[in-house]
Amino acid sequence: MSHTAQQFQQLTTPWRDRLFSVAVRQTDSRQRAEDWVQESMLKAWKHFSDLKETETVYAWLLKILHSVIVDDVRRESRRAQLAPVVSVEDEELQKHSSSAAGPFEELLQKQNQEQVKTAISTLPSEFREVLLFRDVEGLSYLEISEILGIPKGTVMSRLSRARRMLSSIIIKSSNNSSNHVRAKSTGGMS
Amino acid sequence: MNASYNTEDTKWQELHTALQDLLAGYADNELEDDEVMIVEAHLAGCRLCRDDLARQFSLSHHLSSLPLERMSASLHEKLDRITEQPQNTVETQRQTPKVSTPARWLERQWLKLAFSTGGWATAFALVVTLYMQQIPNVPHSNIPMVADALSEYQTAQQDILPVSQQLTEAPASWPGGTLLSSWETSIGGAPAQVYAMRSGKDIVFQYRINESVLFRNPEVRQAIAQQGSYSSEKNGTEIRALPMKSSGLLMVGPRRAMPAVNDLKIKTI
Repeated sequence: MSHTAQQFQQLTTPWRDRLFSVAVRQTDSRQRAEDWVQESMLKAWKHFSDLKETETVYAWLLKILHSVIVDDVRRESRRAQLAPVVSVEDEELQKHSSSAAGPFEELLQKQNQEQVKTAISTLPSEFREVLLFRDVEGLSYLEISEILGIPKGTVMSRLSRARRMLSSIIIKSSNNSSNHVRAKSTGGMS
Repeated sequence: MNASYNTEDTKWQELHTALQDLLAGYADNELEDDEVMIVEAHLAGCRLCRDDLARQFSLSHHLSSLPLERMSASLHEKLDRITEQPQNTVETQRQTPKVSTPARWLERQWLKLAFSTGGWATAFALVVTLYMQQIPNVPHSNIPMVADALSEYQTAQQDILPVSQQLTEAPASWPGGTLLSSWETSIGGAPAQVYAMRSGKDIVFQYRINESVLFRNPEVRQAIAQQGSYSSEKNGTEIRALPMKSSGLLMVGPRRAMPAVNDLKIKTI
């Protein structure tokens, strides 16, 4: 193996699974996520000399993954739909008691990983990406703005809205499931 | 009066709507001082935004503990072979100047210094470095992080030393130690930063490593708990491991070039 190849493997191997984690949370299909990661790593290898000395390897890989996903989604003509802007006055957030600070924390604790993953997957892609990069991957706003090629202020507004949308989805789904359980138990009694 | 009330109300509503996009920034401490003041003033009188902020904190905290999803072993195998694919030719050519042998690097420094006033003493020191490098046989280790550090040290001594475009400060410094180059690597399966230092007429490597990697080995853990650091020496090569504030420091080099512990100044941040 050449020194460049060795250096590439040394730098990128530790990030493979984290890259896959980001990919798999953006699609229902593990196979599709693996295809994205494989294509990203191939692009990374072909453009290895573009990696700047001052650039974080992981941020660089995420930038490549982002472009691969955007290209793939565009190929399927599934352009991002206009996302509804959820405000703090949102009806779902207001009509349930679990939207208050303490009850919401309790509700989150009761969610299993699959429920959270499903809720994240329903977010529009541009909001989901920012949320994953910040809250799951722990990147700074500046890193996210560089990866996605958007201003830092847009990162902030998308993240504010993404968290609000996700809260609303979680509250709504938990309310639906508790209504379902209530209906079942009422049905059983009659 | 009614009109004035409505104007105030409209202004408040506009501010309330605009500030909702800053709440994530407030939760993540990413706002400027003046923005923080405006948000805090609004939060004091707005229950909806306070609740939203609390949900943002909870959600952010909860999502940070989502477990890692692992890819299949077959994909790992495919990625191991990805470097068998050809790279872009133009980029391969562009990459060539990025690396050079330690000898070439020192030659370049010598030439620069030879033509600058007052650089003769340093130039002489570099010539000494260039022609008197006596690298001892680098030993092996059963501790993975030590084995990785030794392997990289050996490779760089025999082959190439990446040239960094921008040098950041090394975690440890000592009298007579000069930073030559720095680059990213992997130690113990986690990303790490290498700092190649000239110490006397030898080269010493420093690695800033992941804290969990530093404490992974029981032998290292015990030594750090008892003596504050781990050190071992074989065939004239010494390796030292020390804890830093939120990471670990590994040092590899010929024993004669390693600084005394009292001479080491370690950056704590």
